[in-house]
Amino acid sequence: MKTKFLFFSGKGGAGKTTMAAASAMYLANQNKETLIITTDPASNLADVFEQPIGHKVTPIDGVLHLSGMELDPDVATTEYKEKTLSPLRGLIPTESFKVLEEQLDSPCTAEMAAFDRFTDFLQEPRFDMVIFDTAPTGHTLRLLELPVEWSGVIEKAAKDESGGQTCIGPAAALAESKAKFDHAITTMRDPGQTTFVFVLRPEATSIYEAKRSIAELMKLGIKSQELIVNGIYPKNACDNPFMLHRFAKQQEFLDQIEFGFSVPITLMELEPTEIIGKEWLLRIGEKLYERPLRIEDFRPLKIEIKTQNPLNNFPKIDPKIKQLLVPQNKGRRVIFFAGKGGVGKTSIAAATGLWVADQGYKTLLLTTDPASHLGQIFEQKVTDKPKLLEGEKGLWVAHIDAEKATDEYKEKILAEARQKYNKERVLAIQEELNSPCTEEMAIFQKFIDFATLKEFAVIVFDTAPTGHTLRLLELPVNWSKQLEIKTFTTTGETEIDKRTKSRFKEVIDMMGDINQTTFSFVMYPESTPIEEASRAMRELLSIGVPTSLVVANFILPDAVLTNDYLKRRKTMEEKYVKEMERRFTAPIVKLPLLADDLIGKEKLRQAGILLYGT
Amino acid sequence: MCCSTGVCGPTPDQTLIDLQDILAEVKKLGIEVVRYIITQSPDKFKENPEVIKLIQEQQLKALPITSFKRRIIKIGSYPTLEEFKEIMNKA
Repeated sequence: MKTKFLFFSGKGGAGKTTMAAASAMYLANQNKETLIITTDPASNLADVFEQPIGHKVTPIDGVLHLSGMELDPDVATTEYKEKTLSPLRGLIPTESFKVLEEQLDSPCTAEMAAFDRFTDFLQEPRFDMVIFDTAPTGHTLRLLELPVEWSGVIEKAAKDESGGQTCIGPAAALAESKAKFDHAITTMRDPGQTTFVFVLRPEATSIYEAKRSIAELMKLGIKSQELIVNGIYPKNACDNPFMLHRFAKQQEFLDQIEFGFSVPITLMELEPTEIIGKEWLLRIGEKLYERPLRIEDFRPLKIEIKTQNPLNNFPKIDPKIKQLLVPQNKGRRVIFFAGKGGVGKTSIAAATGLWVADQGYKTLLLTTDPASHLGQIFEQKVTDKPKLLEGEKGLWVAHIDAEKATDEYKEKILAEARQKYNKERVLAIQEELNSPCTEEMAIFQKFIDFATLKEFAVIVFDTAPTGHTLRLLELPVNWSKQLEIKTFTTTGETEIDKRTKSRFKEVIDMMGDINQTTFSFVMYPESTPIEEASRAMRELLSIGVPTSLVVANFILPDAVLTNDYLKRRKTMEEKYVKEMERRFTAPIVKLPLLADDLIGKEKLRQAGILLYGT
Repeated sequence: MCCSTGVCGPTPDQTLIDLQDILAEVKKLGIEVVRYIITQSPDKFKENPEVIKLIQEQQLKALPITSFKRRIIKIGSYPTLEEFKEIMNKA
């Protein structure tokens, strides 16, 4: 009934890991030898199975036929280095060996290594079923594109008589890798072998993201797709005006999903408690495959949407919070919002941007998430250049557009090259710039450009989900190290090297200075977002970036606890709010679950006031 | 850097770009030059005991090492076009 390879993808927080793990439990229970592997660097797989898993195929305790693995880019890089350098071990002095290892630590190697390991699992004979729990959309699409891109680069380099070098080695040595990448592409494109399951929630941004991914996958020739709509409110939970309002909204979105997609659709209700542990997962798996809910099952109920009363009685802002949001001593302030996918980073960043701009500061709101939906929530087009938000006086918005950033970066280097070099040299540089490594470099340079921009008093960053954001923020440190090594091994430091290093240092220093930077984590009160933020907080601290604000989102208002289902959810919530207070020393600000999704400036502005006060 | 001009890193590498130019000239003279990067083709280094010996004695400062017909002709920096021409004339 199922293909051997199942990919679970979708917007962060939609429930990818839960649905993937439930499917894995169900299939293993049917005596299929099953592997579940996550490609998300901020994976929650160990959290849902309640056991350590790590970067190796690990049997899941107490479950026959089921193994798990968490693909760790750092360990994959170490393995890749070990494999690459093993011929020289013991032959050359330890000191030199160490330098070579550091050289291979380049960010480009890390991306390559993780993706190389990923393709290994598309030729896995030991299992009947291989389930991929992927990272949030933007980065997963990149992972899936890489086999196509690298295969192309190797093929081209092999034909090129001038040396056949690629960023990952001479083309001649890469025939084996190319065969592996080509196999990966064929397997993913074959509907008899691979199915992509998109997990989404009945909300505008989630639907938008699923549509975009499906279009991108079609471009890659990957056509076999299904949808799971997760987090559906059960009818019996909706017995008060607030919940009925939300239920009616849900109905609208289900209609949009039904008419907007031509792929099989299964629904999954929101459980009153968290889905953690194997028994729970198996029950969800059985629901999913034996008693699947369809949109028709939610059809009969039709409700009028009544406008909710506007909120009033806003609290005054706490001065301690205010000083985290505005510049000090006529300087600048940079505010980062990070966290697991689906916690509401973009809405909170947008609400914060409006709030700060309303205090009279010239503010830029910028997203680094390749799957950003900033444009959707403002109902305006957002581009890669800062643009004043329509109808506003103080808030500019922009996003980092990977493709445009890459083109600009290439053009900048080529323009310099054209002034200095002859045509042949420029061509050689151009060839090398077509390597997939360039994109990450370009995005990173763009991030540095924005982070050092002086014309704004406040810059609010809406970041990509945790794993990839940590990587982006660690890049200034990593690349600075690469420049040190370069100076040590080859040419000595050039003027450009010096300039680049001082730019990186500026950003590193800025991120570590609490008088300039506010690093905040957004989460809702459940286990996985808290775990993920705690881990990320520790990792950031290790590069000298302290966390100074925590946002607790989607808090159920006390006034709406009219039935057992909602009371059970509230009990769970209170337990985790306590957990947040225990784990984070930074102040916590709260935003209640609102009747409507935060779309449009006025709703966002109101959310900002609810969050911080006036 | 991992690529031959350094553009895959944070800054292009002038030395490597210059080298590309020299190698293009050398090729016109009928010599084939292959550049191996130690972190990518360690086997090629291992194959040549003289190269390994140099790294043992001088660490990575010995790099780049240029060999012609398996004889080492230059260490520590890349040969200039004139040096390449000289080698050819001797050969």
